Formats: sequence, C-alpha cells, structure tokens
Amino acid sequence: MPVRRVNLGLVVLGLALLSLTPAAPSFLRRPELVAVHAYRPLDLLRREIGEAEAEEEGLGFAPELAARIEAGLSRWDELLLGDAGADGVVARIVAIDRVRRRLLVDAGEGIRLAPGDAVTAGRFALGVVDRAEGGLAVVDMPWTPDARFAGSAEDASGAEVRLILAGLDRHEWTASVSHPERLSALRVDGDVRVPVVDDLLPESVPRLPPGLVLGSLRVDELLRKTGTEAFRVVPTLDVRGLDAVCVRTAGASAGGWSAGFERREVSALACGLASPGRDGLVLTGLGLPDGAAVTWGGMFFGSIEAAAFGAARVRGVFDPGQDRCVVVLSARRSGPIVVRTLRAWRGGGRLRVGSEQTRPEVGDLVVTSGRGEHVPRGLFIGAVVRVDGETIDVLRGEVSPSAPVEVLRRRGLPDDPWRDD
Amino acid sequence: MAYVPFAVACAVLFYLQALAVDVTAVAPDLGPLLAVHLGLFARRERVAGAVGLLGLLRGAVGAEPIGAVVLTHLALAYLVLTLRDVLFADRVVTQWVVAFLGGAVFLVLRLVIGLVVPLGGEEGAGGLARLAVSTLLATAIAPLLFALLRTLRVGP
Repeated sequence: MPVRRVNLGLVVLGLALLSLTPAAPSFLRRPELVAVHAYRPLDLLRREIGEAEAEEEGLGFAPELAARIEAGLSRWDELLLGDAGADGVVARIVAIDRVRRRLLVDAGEGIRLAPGDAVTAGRFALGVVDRAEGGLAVVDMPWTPDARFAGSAEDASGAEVRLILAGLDRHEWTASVSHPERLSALRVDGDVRVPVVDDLLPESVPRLPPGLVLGSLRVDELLRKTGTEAFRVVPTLDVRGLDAVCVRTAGASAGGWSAGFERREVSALACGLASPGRDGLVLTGLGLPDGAAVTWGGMFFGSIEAAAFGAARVRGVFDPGQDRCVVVLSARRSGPIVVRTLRAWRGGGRLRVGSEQTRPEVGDLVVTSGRGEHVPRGLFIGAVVRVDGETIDVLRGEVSPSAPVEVLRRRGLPDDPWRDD
Repeated sequence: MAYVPFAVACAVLFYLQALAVDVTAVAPDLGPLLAVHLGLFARRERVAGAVGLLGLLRGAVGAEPIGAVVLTHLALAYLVLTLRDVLFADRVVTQWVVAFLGGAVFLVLRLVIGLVVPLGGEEGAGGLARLAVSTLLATAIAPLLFALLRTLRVGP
C-alpha cells in the first residue's frame, strides 16, 4: 500500500487548533492564574528566599521599605487572627475552586493542619479543613455543595433559632436553610452565626468557634415562586477578595514555621516581550515550573505562565487584562483589594480598582497577596504614585539589568492538592 | 536543514524586535511580515513547516498563546500563497501592498481569534491601537526586509 505524504500544513494547523483547547499540553496553554497567600514574619521569608544576602550585597531594596511592608502585613494579620490568639496561624489562600467553592490554603512548611480545623477571618467563620497535607489544606465552606454547617439566626423577638446550612449548586454562592427549630418569624437580612451545639454533638466532633458570622439570611425567592416558604444564606465576606485566613489548629508549632519556598537564580533574555504594550520576560533554563514567582532585584516581577524547551515565558504583574488580588499597605489601613491591570509601562503600570473596593492613596505600598502555588505573600510590587477615580498608577521603579532574576518555588507541593482521596 | 538558517534569522529578528519594544513601546511587528515573506517567496511545500517554526519562535518571545500565534501566521501565509501566482512579487510596490493588506488581515484574524480564545491584554487601554500601529509599521520596511532575507538566502 503506497504511503501518502503527510500534509505538513494540516499537521501544523491541527497542532495550533489543539493548543487552543483544554486537551492541549500545559506548555502550550495559558494557565489560569487563580490563587492567594498568607502568614508570618516577613523577615523569616526574606531570609529563606535569600533577600538578606542580597541586601548585604547592595542588591536588595531599602531596609525601611522592608520594615514598612513588615509592619503593614503584621497589622493586617492581627485583624485576620482576631481572638484566635496562639491557636491561630495565618495561612495564605493559594487558590479558590470556583466550581466546588473550596479554598486551598497554605500555612507554610512545618505547620501541621488537620481535618476539622476551623478557618476564620477576624469575626467571620469561613469553613473547616476537609483534608490537609502538612501546611496545605483544602477548606470546605458553607457554600460548598453537599457541605453541612450549623448556624443560628435571630427571630423577630431576638431569640436564637438554630438551623442547618447546606451548600447549593447554584450560580451564586449560597446555602439552603433546613431543619430550623422554628421556621416562622426569622429575621431576614440578619447575621447567621455559629451556634453553640454542645447539647447536640459530642466534644470529639470538631466545630467552629461560636458567635462568628457565617453569612446573611435571605428569603429564597426561587423556592418562593413554587409556593414554598424557604430561606437561604449568602456570604457576608467575599473570600475572592481575601488574601489570607486564620486557621485555628493544634499543629501550629509541630515542626517549626517555614514558608517553604526555594529560590533559584536564572538567566533572562536582555529584553522584554516582542508584543507591544505587554509586560513580561523570557527566561532560559531547564525545569522552570509553571506558576513560579519571578523576582527581579528582590521585587516581584510576575509568574511563569508557560515553560518548555529550556525556556519560560513570564507574564508581568502589570501585563494588561489580569484580575489580581494584591495587598495595599498604608499607615492608615492595610488589607487586600482586587484590581484589574489596564496598562504596563517601563517600571510600572495602571490598575483599576473595583467600585466596591477601598481606594488606595498616594504613597501606599502594593505587595503580593500570595495567590498562586509558588507566589509568596508580601513581595513588593510597587508604590501608588497617582490616584484618579478608580484607576491608580503604581510605580515599581527601574531595575538594574544586572540585578539577579530569581524563580521562587514552594517546596513539597502534592501533584494535585485538590484531589479527593 | 533548509529551515535552520531561517530559524536563526527569525530568532535574531525577534530578539531585535523585543529590544526595540523595550525601548520604544511600539516597534514593527515582524511576525506577520515574515509570514507574508514565506507566502510570497518560500517553496510551496516548505511553507507550512516554516510558518510553524516562525509561529513557535514568535510565540516564545510574545505574550499570546503559541497556538493562536501559529494559527494567525499560518492563515496569513496561506492567503498570500494562494494569491502569489497572480502577483508580480518581485516588484517593490507589490511587496508594499501585500504587506499592508497582510497586516490588515492579520489584525482581523487576531480580533476573530480573540473573540473565541482570550488572548489577554489587548482589551486594555490602547492595546489594540498599539498592535495595529506595530503591525502596520512593519509595512514600511517590508521591501527592505524581503530583499535582505533573499540576499542572505535564508528563506526555506
């Protein structure tokens, strides 16, 4: 049988089309950047990733800047920890499973989180650890389909009514209310809090700290159309705009805290990207992991989005079209916000702050929230130099071409942290 | 082996382009220009392989998904290839016109693909305008680049 010549054009076309589908190998696809981070004394992290050495060599950024970042993050961490005290550790939110509505959190290497640990943020209860591997844990929330949580709401007379929340598989994050002790006269729009359930559950069953807010009570309009009186609970705190959580665990000091990031100096092409208006870099080297954080001169430059054939493409932090959770640090108030990158230029970029987000002020510092498996929290992104309505200009400053380019990678990550055993 | 000199030439050109973008923010985009060159002058049976190589190199130093880059360059090169028998490709005016129209078609292709696959970034303020300027800016140097590549005999 004669062998027909392969039509190379069709092969290239097929490969190009394949690369645009979810079935494509990862190095041909643009990985989704979901994620967030959390934490601990920043100087420990810096020491770990080698910034202390860089400072000694005069390559790092100013110590006063590092001190401002440290102080700002510590203030914010205190708010996150709330009344948890020594039982609480701050864990960065690595990623959010938007379909299953679960969180992947990372408390650092050496911490031993355990199933049943309560996850909170200030006065809010967010969920419980479903499974954990070292400092990494998957957290179920009341909005996770099939998850069950106990809650309590007030009725019109102010009396407590206990109920059961069950995550619903709807478009929005919500939980149904079932088995209330009294269905009538529940106060809509009131807080749903964690109840005391000592009379219902044995002490061995893990539970959330009582009194923390789980969400807000609403009438279930969807079921009301069918003539059924029903209620649902919606989140009061949107975790998508949160950088870290507090995990109340007994394993806080099991192995000593360590962020667990390893660093590696790499070579970069002495140019940016060939695409106009984009912020990025091409690195050379073998074994560069997708999603790894890239720093240049100690400052956060971006994340590796595609690595193959001994080279990797880095998407810059200011590259337009990204929705990013960043932490804004100021003397007045520190906390995370979600921004959209609009424009990149040399040493900085323009960001749009969401209409419901707190507006930063000129002089505020912007640092990484730690979202992403390999992105530490608290790396310097830039300083706010201009605020105009919803848009802010952030300046990173010029980086010396001789400054070291480094790739950071979280040690000991499982292949698929979300995997159900 | 016919592809090696071409690959080296592309790598050097894209590196120079990246340097220029770093300095000026807008520089001629040589990707579509090289695709037009292949469509006009490459041996017919080598166009697909050369464009695949071109797309991989351009994708490696660009910000867009490599598949989208290969697809747009492939479509552009084959469009020129189907027309080249009725063109006087050696004339400078023809090269200018084909490069200009090729750049315009390239932009349309990018827009269409961008509707299906998020290319990222170009919806940002001025992003599309910058892309258009850099693509059409390349038209100006089309005859010069084509002559250089043909003189050096690096085309496949």
